[in-house]
Amino acid sequence: MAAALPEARAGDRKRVVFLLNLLQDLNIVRGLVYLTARETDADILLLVSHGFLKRDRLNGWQSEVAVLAADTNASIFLYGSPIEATAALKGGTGIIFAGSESSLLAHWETSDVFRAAPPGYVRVTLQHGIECVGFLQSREHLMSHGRNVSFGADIVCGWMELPALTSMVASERAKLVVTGPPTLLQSPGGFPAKTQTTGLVCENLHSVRLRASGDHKAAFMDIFFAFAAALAARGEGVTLRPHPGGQYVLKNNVALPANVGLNNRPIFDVNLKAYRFGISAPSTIVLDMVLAGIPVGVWRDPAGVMDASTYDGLTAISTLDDWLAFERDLVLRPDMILERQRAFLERLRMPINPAEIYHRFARLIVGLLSGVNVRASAAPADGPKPRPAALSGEKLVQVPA
Amino acid sequence: MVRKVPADFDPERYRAEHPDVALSGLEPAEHYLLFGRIMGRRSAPARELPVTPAPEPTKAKPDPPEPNETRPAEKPLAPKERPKPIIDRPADFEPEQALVRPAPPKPGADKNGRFALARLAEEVAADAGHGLGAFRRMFGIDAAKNAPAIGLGAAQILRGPARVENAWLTADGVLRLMIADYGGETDGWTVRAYDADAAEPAQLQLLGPGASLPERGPVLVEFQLRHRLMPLLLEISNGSGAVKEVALLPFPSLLPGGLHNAELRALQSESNPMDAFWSLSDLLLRELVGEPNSSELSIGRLSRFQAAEPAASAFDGDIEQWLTAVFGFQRSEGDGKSLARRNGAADLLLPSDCIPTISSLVSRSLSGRGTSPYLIADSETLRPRWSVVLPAAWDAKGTAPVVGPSGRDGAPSVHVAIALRAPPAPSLSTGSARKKSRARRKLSVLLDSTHPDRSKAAVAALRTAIGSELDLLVRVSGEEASFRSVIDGAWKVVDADLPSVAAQAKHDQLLTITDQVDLSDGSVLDTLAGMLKNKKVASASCLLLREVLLKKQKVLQPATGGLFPAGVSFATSPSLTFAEPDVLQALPDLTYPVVANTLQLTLWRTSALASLPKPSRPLPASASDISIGLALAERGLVSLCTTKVSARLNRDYEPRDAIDPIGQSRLALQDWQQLLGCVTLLRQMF
Repeated sequence: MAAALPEARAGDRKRVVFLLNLLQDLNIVRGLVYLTARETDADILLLVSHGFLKRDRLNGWQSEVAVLAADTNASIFLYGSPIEATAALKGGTGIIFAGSESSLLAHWETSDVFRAAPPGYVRVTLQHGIECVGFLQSREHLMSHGRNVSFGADIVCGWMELPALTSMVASERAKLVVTGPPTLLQSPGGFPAKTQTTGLVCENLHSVRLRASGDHKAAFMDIFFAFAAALAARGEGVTLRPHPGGQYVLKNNVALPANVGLNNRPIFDVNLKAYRFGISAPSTIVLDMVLAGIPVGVWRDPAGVMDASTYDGLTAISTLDDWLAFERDLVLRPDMILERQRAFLERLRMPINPAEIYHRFARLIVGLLSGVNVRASAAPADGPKPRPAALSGEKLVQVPA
Repeated sequence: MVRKVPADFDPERYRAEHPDVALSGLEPAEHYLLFGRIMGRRSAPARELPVTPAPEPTKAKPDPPEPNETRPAEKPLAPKERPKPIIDRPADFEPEQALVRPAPPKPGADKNGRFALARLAEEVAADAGHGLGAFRRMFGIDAAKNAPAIGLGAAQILRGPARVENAWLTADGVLRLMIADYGGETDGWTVRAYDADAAEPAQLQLLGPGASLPERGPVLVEFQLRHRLMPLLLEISNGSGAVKEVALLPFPSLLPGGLHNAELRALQSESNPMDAFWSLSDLLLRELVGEPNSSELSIGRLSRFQAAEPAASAFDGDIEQWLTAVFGFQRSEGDGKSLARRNGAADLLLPSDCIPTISSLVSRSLSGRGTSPYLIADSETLRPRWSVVLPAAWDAKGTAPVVGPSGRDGAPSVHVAIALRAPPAPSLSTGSARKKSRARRKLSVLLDSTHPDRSKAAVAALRTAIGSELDLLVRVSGEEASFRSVIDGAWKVVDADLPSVAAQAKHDQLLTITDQVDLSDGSVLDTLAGMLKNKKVASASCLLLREVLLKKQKVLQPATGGLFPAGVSFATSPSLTFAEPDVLQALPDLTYPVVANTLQLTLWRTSALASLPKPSRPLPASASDISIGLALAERGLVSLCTTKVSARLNRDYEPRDAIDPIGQSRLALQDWQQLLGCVTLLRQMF
């Protein structure tokens, strides 16, 4: 039974608002939207930025937002400016979650909403990757974004304990609540059992990781194509997954060999367990694949320039020979690879038990909602109005209020 | 080898399939050879090629859930096949366990929430730490003479199971406390908050009902404040209503969202900002209400920024009430406008455009020390943006407000500022407001010409501003003839370094200017000439603004306001690096000494320039101004810059950042200290 939240004042509604700006935000907040619907009687709002619509070139993610809203009885609003977002926030109190928010220019669409949010809301930023600006940054992050990333949020939900979050600046540390990854709230079940025959290679070629300390993109793709050719010679295939935030091979229309399939579905619709192995440059997908229990190879550039220290202990592969050796080890000594991964998870200082993560987020959301009791800001008589939206075809479009 | 497109290359199809081809302006075949081939694009219709069709960028191609299919599936999963969205609720979780509920009514409080301070003192367990003694001393309540040890009294709230992990103030004056996940130890505990009116501090006022903590945290507890600055008392009671602890928040405005949070950020000495809040609160409290000999902070020098404004005018009733009740300030008897400290030990005149830091308000003694840094805060967020140190010798007029805390032996340990100052809105010269020079003057001018038309306009502006006594020297880049035909009047071509040019100048003052500076405002020259009246000053310049296109609008941004030390480079031998920071934020409406002035627009004392040795080797163009500035500084001369007036650049200008232009050890290591002691130092804070 959902918690019956005390009303702040007569007529005020408690709300939980989720900002969707980057495509990958959906995967970060999705589990929390379902959890909120289950555990509270608060209104749920999904605020979708124009940037989200623009980034969804293939129109695959907007329909996922619509499905999420339908499943949880949430309302969808579009916003192109912080004022429009504020218009949707007026008249309620509660929590605003952002899947990606910081002082970086790339996050302005969410940080501006936080700055303009009515004071009746508690603003919460979610860590959105194992290496994440303001939480834990690689050397390439530091080169690209500097060391002084801060948050507009009142609370930041981290995946790991503070000592492991080495990039959290002093002024932000009091905001930390360690919750673990919200992505683990999502159910991994529901997929048909199939024979594992192919591996999954994930590309994040858009990432600063692949360009800040040198142009590593060409090296990765060259090795991938050679690897695919070696598999093709044996009559085998491999699946390539573009990072949702970058989608490099799609945006650049890169032709792929015949034995390479694409998997561009949201990660929560991907049955990672069904793959024979996983390969990726350092990225959060590595953790996803490790948690799925498949053997994982972490690629780093053959020259060894790239900082992959967060993933130390996992099987590292660089050259084509490494890739092929890793693929042979899947047969000859899989336990060795999986044992490395178990040790890696133990060292992470991160809650990975989904039930514990559920506890932490549920207590946080219910505790915050019941603690916020100030009067909601009244909606202004003039100025921008809220822009409710619904799915039309594959796109979210504004509908009459 | 000349590459050719494949024989089956279909240019129209290639153009249609790849929209970037049309955008590039290249022929399809050319584009294919340059880019498409490298990107692996097909050159012919897909059906004719053995490779897999590339994914279309405009249409989603969902992948099947089964990995053994190597091609994208055409249809997405049906809804019924979607996995269950999230895991089941853990069996041991009940949402009711996490609810924060209003606390029961406080026994003894009247219907308006008023509660006697004396009664609260009786309720506190004798062995519990509490901040009531310090609270009474803050307000000078009679019983304070016998008050116990001074301290915040917050064992539970600082370190115990009800530890406040974070606290902040919202824009509408709500104090929010995040209380830790205490693992069920505080089940049934309640948190209440009190404040008091300055006129009747012994009568406490409950701020709302308070909150009953649930079994597990973290939880949010909030209180609507009645006054944004006044001290607060936080009470922790157990399940049976017995008061366990009363903690004092003497200066809640130090919290994020508060008026003084910038001070906390600037002085944060603990790794966690909440720990820093408590430790700084304790330090300031002890200074305010401690024993006479326990002073740990001392004010270096008191001053006010602008004498023109009556000091009290910047403070509304709330702030004045707080200054009077907590810090003992009163309206001065003399003018009835200024606020002065009651005991008269430090005649603190509060500046009208600043927020006095709590450090300066609690400090009780003068250290006699020289200058200390002061802070420039962001005008909207009050976040400290710049730390400014003006050299003591230059700051004779008390431009910089300073507070220098010192240890008991008198040696300073850290620096705090007397005031947080928001930069005023810039008053920029515009076309309609341009003024003419008040006086014609004799002036030599070195014009660096880059374009005939701009040079023509620049010379016209100079003749208007200076008049017939203009001694014009022109250094041209390009064909001299093209400038000859457009620049009117008498002028002389020079092609030499600045000291050599100065030796040729007729007049005592030499203006260096480029044809990229718009000098329509003649009063700029008057200001610069005024700065040169001091014989120690060798050069004078002002803020230069540039036009920047920002979101389709032209805006003015600072280009340069002089060169400042920026850091140390170890690229070769250790050397100082220099930069051109945004002085409009850091040094608004101020005249300040710099390492060097840019050659874009500077008025020089000709004799000082002419006395400089000629460079022994060619310097890069970006280093010539710094080289001259350092040479002048070696002779004890000062380069001044001002943000009181400004001129505009009609071309883009990229401010230099952390450059090491001199290369080898132009500035000897042992000379650093001398240089740093006589120029303005800026530190941008994050």
